[in-house]
Amino acid sequence: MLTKKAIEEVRNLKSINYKFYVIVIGCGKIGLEVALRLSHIGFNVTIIDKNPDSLSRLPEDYGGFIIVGDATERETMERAKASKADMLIATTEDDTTNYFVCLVGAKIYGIPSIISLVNNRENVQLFERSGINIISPINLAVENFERTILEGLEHSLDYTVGDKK
Amino acid sequence: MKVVIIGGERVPYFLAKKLVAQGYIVYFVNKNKELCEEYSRTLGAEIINGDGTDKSVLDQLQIEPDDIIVLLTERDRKNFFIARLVQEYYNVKNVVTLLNNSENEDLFERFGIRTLKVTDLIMSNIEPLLFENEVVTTLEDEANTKGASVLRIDIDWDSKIARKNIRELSIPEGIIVVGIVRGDRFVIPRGETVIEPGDKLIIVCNDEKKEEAIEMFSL
Repeated sequence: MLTKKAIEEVRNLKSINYKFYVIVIGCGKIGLEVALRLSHIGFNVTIIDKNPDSLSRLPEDYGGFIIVGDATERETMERAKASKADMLIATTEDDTTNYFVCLVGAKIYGIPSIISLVNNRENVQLFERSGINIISPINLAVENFERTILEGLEHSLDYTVGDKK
Repeated sequence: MKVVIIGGERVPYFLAKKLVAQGYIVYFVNKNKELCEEYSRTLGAEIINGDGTDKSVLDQLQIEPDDIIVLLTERDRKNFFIARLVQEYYNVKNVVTLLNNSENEDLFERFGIRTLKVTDLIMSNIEPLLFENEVVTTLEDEANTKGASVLRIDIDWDSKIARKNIRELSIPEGIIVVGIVRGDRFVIPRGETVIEPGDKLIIVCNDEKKEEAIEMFSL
């Protein structure tokens, strides 16, 4: 998921005593995993979710902070010290929530780096036009399929051609 | 130019009705199927049943840059999302939105989206009432155990003390007007303060003067 180079960079930051601070919004399947991995690498992580039950699914070795609250409310963002964040990652399954918290993060709290999950592929363009880096599961899956299919096709073509010889 | 109203329940009905009566072309978008069916019978507007945050729904409206978009959903994030969609895809200049949480005003402002601050409006209307209530409660707590009473008296249009100033009333000893609730203000009265119809007087008096006070101010 993270390149070796990125992990190396985080370690370098750590060595100068700077901890990269990341806020993760939403503790669903994706948010949970992202927060967990980032905390293992050594990021300062805070994960926010409205539902305490979702947060309770975090394993014990998660080393970050937990906030129960609605991230679309300023009070929650203040509690997460949003103005000190280096990165915001929105992972809820509702695109309007993701879009809203991303822009509050970027425009109101000045968070320099914003990444969002985009559930509905139609919304990708709006997120990108607003300066948000996007992760679109459907696009990723389609691209992967395409690549795998094309590679398979090339392989079988080679095989067929070779066979004829 | 057309007016597109997205979300809401009864407010859009009356809004659309007025606009249609004035000759405007009105589109109404709502997720609620029953509501849409009802309005398609009763409103002379174009009704679209669907989720306004869905671009394929918005595409049906053929929105033009000079159209006016009115957003009335109960969620700021939805209104914000729709506002940004119509700005980005159809270059709409005029977007007006219901603002549910007033702390979000700054974000909408940044994107040139006009806001209707309903919460603030309600707050500014009830604040004087809350204040009045607080004042009276505090006074009552102080006065009751010490032989004094707090009275609240509404001044009608035909009240004999309306349009007189406090000094003219020559209020007897043991009775005092401590405050006047006037519209959204709380007036601390002086001798020259004129009592107006619609005012609410807050009076403190000795218990034995209570009847006299009621007689004097309510007649």
